[in-house]
Amino acid sequence: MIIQIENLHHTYMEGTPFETKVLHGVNLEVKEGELVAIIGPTRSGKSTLVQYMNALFLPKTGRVVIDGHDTSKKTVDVRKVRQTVGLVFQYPEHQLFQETVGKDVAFGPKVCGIPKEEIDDRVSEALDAVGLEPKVFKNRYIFALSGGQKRRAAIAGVLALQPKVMVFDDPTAGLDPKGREEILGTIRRVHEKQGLTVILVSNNLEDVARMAKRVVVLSEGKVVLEGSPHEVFSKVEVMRQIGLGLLQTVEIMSRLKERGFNVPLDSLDADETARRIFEYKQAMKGGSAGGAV
Amino acid sequence: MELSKDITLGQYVPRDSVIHKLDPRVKIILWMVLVTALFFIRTYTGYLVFFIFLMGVIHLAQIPILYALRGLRPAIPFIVVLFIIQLLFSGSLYADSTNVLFEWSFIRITAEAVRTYSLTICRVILLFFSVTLLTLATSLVGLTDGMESLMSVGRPIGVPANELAMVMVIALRFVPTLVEELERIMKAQMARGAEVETGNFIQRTKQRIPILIPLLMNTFQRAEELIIAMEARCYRGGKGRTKRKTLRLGILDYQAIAVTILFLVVFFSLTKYVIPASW
Amino acid sequence: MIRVENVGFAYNATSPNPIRALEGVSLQINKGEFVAIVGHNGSGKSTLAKHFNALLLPTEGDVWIDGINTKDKKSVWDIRQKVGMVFQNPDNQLVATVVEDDVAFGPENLGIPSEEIQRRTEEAMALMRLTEVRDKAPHMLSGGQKQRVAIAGILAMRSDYVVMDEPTSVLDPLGRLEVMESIRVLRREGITVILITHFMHEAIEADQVVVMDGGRMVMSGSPREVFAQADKLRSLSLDVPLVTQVAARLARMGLDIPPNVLSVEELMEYL
Repeated sequence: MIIQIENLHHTYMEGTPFETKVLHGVNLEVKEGELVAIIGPTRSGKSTLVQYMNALFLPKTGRVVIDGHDTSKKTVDVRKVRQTVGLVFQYPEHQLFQETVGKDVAFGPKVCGIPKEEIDDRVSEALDAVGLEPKVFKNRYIFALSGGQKRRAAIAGVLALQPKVMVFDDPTAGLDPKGREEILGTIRRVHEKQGLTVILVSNNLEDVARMAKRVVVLSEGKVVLEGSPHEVFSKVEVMRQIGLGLLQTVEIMSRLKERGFNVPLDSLDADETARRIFEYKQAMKGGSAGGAV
Repeated sequence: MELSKDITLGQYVPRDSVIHKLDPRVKIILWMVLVTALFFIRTYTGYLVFFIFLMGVIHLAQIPILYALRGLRPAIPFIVVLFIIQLLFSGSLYADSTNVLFEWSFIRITAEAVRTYSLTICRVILLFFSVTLLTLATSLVGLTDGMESLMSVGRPIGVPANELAMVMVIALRFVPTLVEELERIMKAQMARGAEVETGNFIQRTKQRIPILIPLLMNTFQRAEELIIAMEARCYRGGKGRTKRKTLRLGILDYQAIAVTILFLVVFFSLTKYVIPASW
Repeated sequence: MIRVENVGFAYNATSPNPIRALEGVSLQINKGEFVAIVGHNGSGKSTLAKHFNALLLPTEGDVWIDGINTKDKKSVWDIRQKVGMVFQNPDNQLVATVVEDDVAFGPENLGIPSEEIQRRTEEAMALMRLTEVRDKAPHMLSGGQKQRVAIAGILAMRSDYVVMDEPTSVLDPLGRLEVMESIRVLRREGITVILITHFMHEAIEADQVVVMDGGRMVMSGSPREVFAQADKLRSLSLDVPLVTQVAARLARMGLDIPPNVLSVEELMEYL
């Protein structure tokens, strides 16, 4: 278990008139090498939860253990935790501050005291991983990059720390289809080629359906659903009730079902949806044909 | 890490209280009167009475007193340092004092200095407190509407009341957004291994660069987008602009004025004739 | 009616290195229509959007709003009153510290009497279901709510046209639904809606879909006409709506379904 969260509570602005409970006893375990997605409506506590994985918050109630480091203990080495878990915030391109891509990617390793020769290698590797050819992009000025490229450069800045776990907070927000594909491709490469554990927090259900092996649904600070994408997305009632809405494919299936087509709800993409509808049609035909004989 | 937690200054606590209901212009003027009055107090007792009065007002505004006091916390170190420095280096101002409490080399602490600076500290605290009080119980909208209305008195002599108010509104509107953004950038850099607030002065300044540069860039970006959005909504300065709300005084406002005047009259009569000047 | 006539635009047009963003775009948008302009970043769709209310003026060609040329300097404020804009980032377009004041910001700029501003503000907030959050600060609202505040601000200006520049691209799923629902409300009020988006399913309900690529208008027509050309769209790295994709696959599997199905209801008719 690389991440272990037990009974985690969090209160925002504790002790002020603006006090709000954000997390109410969250339990979550992530195995090494998994690709887990966390979804939930606005203010469900997703962003707060991921900050515990990076020791930006330390638990007051409950326990968070990251690769053996218990962050609820006073003796915890916060830097170790941050080197284990790389956290990519929403709109990470907003954190770029150096003039060139290479310098910005090198920032993390540099402050962590990595020797100079190794930093160079790490920068090249990280740029490679996000699909920015190091030879071309290392010396390029940040302001000369497109929106999607800036975001990938920022992701490289986190990858260069060589963490075991990468957490992405809404990585495709605001990008066009092309930009989105590039980011998702990067995440997939990091997961499959480098074997990193990936936690994908997303507002885009389509992205999650395509990427995740396991989905965790948060609502009002609690885990309300957990399972494979097929299991989770087919829970139409819960998804509607917590205000997340449905995956487009599931929406199609559930509308068909409402009109008396007895198709399974759990389809994640166009291919699967078409296949299931086709199979249903064949079965119906077979059934009615058989009945006629 | 939560930056917004200890900042009470400028935080509005919505309540349905008498204080909240007052006309913002009345609140601003009464507040200015009280703040001016602060500068005429020369006794500890005076500050104490004044403090109790402000507490009463906070209570009336249904704001938890502890929360109101919390805002003082970040200011305490500054106040203490200020007090000590003043005390240590002001000996020469009281050269002919007979009440020397401590003397060593150029340092000379006199009873008069202690009293003067203690009173100054009391004044600073109360000043801070009254500003907090005004902002905790007056919505930003109220404040800016009130300011605009008061400033428009100066319009004939060329005071751009509307524009000034607009600047204030936008500044206030973006404070929470920028605080959130600052928090996010700080966290993002910390997640990359950056240390915040350690080491000596030069190191600390260097540590702030990764935070300040993005913050500045994003603020420019926001400003640019905001200007476009405002122009798209036909904003062209204060000229020809009308307001949705017109402010009117009510009974409550007159009562508040009366109570404040009464308090000040009684208060200064007491300090002049009853309370000894040395208390 | 909006008429775009052979419009070309370059950023830094007078500099030695102008950046061409639009090339020979012609387009007509009738009153009450819902037009979706799709394309990816850099296709010129946002640049085109800014031409509809004189935030940008064409380098070549003309844009006419109800017969007024956007180049006519005297009419700029009339045009901006007629054509409202909703931008991508809800955080950077709200001006005031509370919802109600923000909705009133536009009409206040038009110099309308106080009572009338108040009335319009109330109406607009009611239409956008904001009355309950009227005294909330913008940063306390969800993304979908913020966009509804922006739309209410335009309603209160009594604009005839609303241009939305990727209003859903930074929102969560619920926020996206809120914006789409708001578009339906605008249409019911008889307002012309121009939606710039890269989510294809948002264009399904449009009367006209315009596809932009490299500053040119490469396709236009009804959603049915445009989405029938899945291959051409794919070559522009754009997709067709999911229902259409499913229908196309079913057709390939041998079912008798046309390739330009646009809704689940329609799909059912063929099953």
